[in-house]
Amino acid sequence: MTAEIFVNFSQNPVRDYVTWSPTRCAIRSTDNVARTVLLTNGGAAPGGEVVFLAAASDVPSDTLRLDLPAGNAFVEFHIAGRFDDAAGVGFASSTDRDASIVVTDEADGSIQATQPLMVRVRKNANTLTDEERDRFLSAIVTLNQRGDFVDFQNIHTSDTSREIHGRSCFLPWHRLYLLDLERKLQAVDPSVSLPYWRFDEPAPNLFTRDFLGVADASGLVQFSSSNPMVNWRLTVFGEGSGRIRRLPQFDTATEPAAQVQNDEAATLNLGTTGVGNRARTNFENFERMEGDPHGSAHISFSGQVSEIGRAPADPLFFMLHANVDRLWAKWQWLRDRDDPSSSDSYYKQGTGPLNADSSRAGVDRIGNYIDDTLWPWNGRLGDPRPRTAPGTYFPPSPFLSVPDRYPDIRSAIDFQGQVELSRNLGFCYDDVPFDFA
Amino acid sequence: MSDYKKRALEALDAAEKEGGKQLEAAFDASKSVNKRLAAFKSIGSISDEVHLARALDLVDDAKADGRLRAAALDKISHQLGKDEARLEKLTRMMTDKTLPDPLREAALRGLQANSFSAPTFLANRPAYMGALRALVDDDNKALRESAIEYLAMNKDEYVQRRLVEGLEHPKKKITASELAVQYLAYDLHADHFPILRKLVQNPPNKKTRMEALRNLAADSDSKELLAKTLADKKEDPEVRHLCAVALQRMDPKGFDVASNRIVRAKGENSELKVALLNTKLHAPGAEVAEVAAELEKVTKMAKGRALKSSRRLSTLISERTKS
Repeated sequence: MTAEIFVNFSQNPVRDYVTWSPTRCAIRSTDNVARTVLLTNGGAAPGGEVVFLAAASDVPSDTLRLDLPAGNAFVEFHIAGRFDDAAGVGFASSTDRDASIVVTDEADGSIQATQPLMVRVRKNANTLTDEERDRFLSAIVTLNQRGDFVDFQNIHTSDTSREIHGRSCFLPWHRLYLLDLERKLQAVDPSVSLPYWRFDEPAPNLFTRDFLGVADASGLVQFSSSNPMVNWRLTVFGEGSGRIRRLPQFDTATEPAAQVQNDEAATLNLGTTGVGNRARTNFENFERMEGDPHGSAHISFSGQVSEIGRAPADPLFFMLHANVDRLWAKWQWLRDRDDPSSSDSYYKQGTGPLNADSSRAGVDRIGNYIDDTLWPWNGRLGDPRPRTAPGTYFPPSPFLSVPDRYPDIRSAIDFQGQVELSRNLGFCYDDVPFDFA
Repeated sequence: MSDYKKRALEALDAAEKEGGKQLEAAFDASKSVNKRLAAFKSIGSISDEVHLARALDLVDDAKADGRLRAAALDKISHQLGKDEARLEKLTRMMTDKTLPDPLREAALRGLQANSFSAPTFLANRPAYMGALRALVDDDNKALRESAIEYLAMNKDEYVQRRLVEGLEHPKKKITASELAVQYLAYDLHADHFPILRKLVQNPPNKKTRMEALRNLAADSDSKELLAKTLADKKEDPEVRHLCAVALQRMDPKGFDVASNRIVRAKGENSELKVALLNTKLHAPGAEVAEVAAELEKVTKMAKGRALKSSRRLSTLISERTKS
């Protein structure tokens, strides 16, 4: 090999993960020979595929021609996971590093380097391959068994609810909460991303003994003996060592979640006035989705997931919220609502009042405004915040510097870096592309 | 704009138009109840003031079909959460036995959904909890079971007392015994352990015994019982495995010894062996290579479902070794 590539412009060994957003890379010659190279995609379906851009603002193409100087000077370029905008289909990876960049010498066609990588994307849980499913299950059970998972339950309790529900920070807060979990899953297995439960559609492959389990008549969830979930511990404080209870109020194989009133289209249309080019909407209207479909999806079962203080005890909670987040992401994409400085993207601009009446439900207290930092990662305890926190700041990424260890709401808005690429948080959804044009 | 985005926006416009038609059909009194119910089912939540008012009128219309009234309430309950007085009304509807069951159940659902999002819910919570206690003896099973579980999840002392009473005196039970154990497990106290031990020795049914065993993982006095049940070949493999998982929590070394013995023994249930290896693999500090070696031996002897399970575990181990 006579060239080397640094994906994410990083030397971290766990750096070879990209999304639909342009990702900064670098290439250099390793044999002190100047040459012109052609970069092409080495992956093929069902694996991941990438496209190339010289500069992040370029339109992507299937190949990229670069002049590598002699010596070891870097030449920068960008890649992104390939998304076919005509067909509306993305080419995400299904296994770790099944995508690759192939570097060919333009002069003689010889391959100078191959760089494996993964187009890592959050997918519909109902469509995962068995391997994707099992890697996710194994990672989340590992976190659970290590005791790391208890923090996620202790953050989302009845006592902390007024900090994170029924107020405008609901969506950005939960976005970061999910990302916190996902980064910890990726510390166990970097190929894992958080799948989402599409609750407005039947999910016959999700509610099986091999995946999230099947409830018996009493509502206790049963798993096959090889499913990592047989080892799941309920770590809610004071709770016994029972199993997950999740009795559905609908046929999970053939029906959508029973209590959800707004399907995807109705959700994305929330608060929209006008049609076509005259359609107008803003965050203040869209956030009503907290009630439905979000709350309604929760209460489509009995058991832990139906109660706010216990819901994270069931991993379904995170997939439910991944879909909530995906709906927000899709709304942002469709309605161009990625710019955090626009009140249409998020209507509480500036910083929140520090000393508002703490006996109020908390609609307008600090933690709601775009420049407010978010509990628990900011470690701020005592009124008007909850009195407890696990005491950890936001987990860093191996190759991204965002969000800050004390993230603010602003950092959650432009998650794909659509407006400012440096804000890219390193996750994306299979059906929400990055807009290059 | 990409074709994909264009198509998606067009689909949203079409959905909005169709939704408008169905909304009118839902409120059209000249249509049959079934057609109106189908129309309600196909629309999203209602939030505009005009249709919100019409829905409220329908909810309050004592002459209307109970299912229609419930369908209307389902479409507006999230809007009602913004108003404390309306939340209080939902709470009263839930316990009002003069109302049709579908409407009472819709009121409960509305309150449950609002518990996730309505800033006014906190103020209404005491009244809500009081109303749930009143439902513990209600004739409507759906309301009763929901109420009992929700109270149990919120560590309500009243329902805990009633559940314990039902386990000790079956004629006073408010729910099935296996459910009572599950609900008590939401807030397991040390004084529940003697009851659980009694249920293991003298269970009303198999499921209750399993739940009692499962929850004794927190009781250090039950270590011997769990170990003995795990070792008993006559026990159901599922019961044995749940004892293993419980033992792994309270005595990881004891679990290792007991599970190794079973995994290496001839004549033991293959699926149980795979399940035990699964537990070992995911335990903190797992020795993956050791688990892999044991699994290889188990796979050679396994058939049918046990073979499928062992192959799946084997794939998991290779993935783990790679990453």
